[in-house]
Parts: sequence; C-alpha cells; structure tokens
Amino acid sequence: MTASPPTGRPDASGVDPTRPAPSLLTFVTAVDDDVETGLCIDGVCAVDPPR
Amino acid sequence: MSEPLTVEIWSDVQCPWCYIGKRRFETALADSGERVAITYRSFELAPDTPVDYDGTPADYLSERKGISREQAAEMMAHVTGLAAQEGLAYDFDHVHQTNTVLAHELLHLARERGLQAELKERLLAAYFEQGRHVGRVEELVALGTDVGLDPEEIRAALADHRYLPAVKADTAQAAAYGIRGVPFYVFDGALGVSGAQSPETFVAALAQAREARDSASAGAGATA
Repeated sequence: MTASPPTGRPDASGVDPTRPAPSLLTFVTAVDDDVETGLCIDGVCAVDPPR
Repeated sequence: MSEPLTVEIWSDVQCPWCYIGKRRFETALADSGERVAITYRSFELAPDTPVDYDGTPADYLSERKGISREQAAEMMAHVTGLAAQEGLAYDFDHVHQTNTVLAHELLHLARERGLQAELKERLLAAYFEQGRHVGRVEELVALGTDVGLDPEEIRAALADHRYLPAVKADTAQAAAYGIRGVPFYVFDGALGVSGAQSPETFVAALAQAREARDSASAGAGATA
C-alpha cells in the first residue's frame, strides 16, 4: 500500500489523518535531571505518568 | 537567507517542566543561531480539574498520586530548585491549581493576533512565579491585555468558546501522534523531541532538522 501525502485537511476531530507521526529523534534520552516531580518524570509531565 | 524551521510545541500552562524546557530551548536557539517559527499547541494535563480547585498543588498531587502531602511538597521543592537553575522563581506556595482550557483558548486567539509567544511567557510566569489564577476569565483578560490583546475581544472569545475546537484539534493531533506527555517538540512536522531536554540536545535536534530540510531541498532541486 502506498502512503498518501498529507492533505492538510483535518477530519472532524481536527486531525489530518494523512499526516505522518514525527520520528522521535534517536539521540534523545531521559533528561539529565532524572527525577520524579509530581506528575512529571524525566522532564515530561504526563496525563497518566508511569509509576 | 534560509526559511525558518517550524517548531510545534505541545505544552500546558501548569506543566513545570514546560517552563523549564522553554528556557532550555531558548538557550539552544541563542547558541545555535537557528531561525524558527514556533507554534504552541494545546495539551491539558488535568482537564478534569475544576476552575476553582479547593486545595493546594500539594493537595492535588497527594490526591492524584496517592502520596502524602509531605512527599508532594518535597517533589515541588525539587522542581523549584531545577527551575531556579534556569533563572525561574517558582512559588508553589501561591500557585492556584486550576483548569487550563480557557488559557489554551486564549493562546489560540493570541496566535491569530501574532502574540502567542508573548502570551505563553506571560501565562507561565503568572502561574508559576506570580500566584495568578490562570483559570478565571477576568484574570485571563488582564494577562492577555498585558501582552497587547484587546480585553473585549478576549471576553467575547472566552464567552462563546470560538477557539475550543482549535484546542480540541491540538489535543486530537497529539493523541494521533502518540504524545502522552509534555513538553513535546515537533520540528518541520517530521522530527520529535520529548521532554525538557538540555540545550545541547536541542541544538543537536535543530541541526538534524536543518540537515533534513536542506537534504529535501537539494533533492527537490535535483529533480526539478
């Protein structure tokens, strides 16, 4: 199957279903401050943070 | 002169790492000299929080994570120290935990008026450093006016929620990307970085995004 190019046209939810997800840069790891602060771990604040 | 890279940043007004990440990214931009066009995207960390949450941030964390208030206070003290390293004066004793959907709606209005960057900084400082309540309409009117928005337009926009679909679209796009936490940076719609990374990491990410842009341009030129 051939991927369609992004159309720039969002669907009803506001998402362009043809827009590919970004590639997470491989050199990025946990931030230096490897600590848990409330709802945030490793420099990221999450809706459902990992325990 | 090359065209600026696009950078979309998903974040929330009450995300402590988002403000820290903002400062680190600003340092990276200064160090790299890279030109970027930034758009702040909406991400609500706690959409179920009432506007007038009856408690402190320590209460909130304690309830949410099932930890003691003392443990929550220790966590906030720790992040306050990390923020201080970036020149930020977090004051959790005066933070008003709240619902941020209206703040996100206002950020979309500010984007249309070319004032989103100014408002983002104003809201973060108001929330973390100045004990302002970023969930209430009149506070948002005052903060928006501070950066040059029209107070009557703010009141009208927050009353009819004309920017709520834009907030929801950002949230939906984040979900489609698989983003579960913020800050999250997307360069040129193609490269993603999660978390408040170091300035050095952001510099490397900017370089990689620029290289990808230049390669794509060269390829397009070769086939033209």
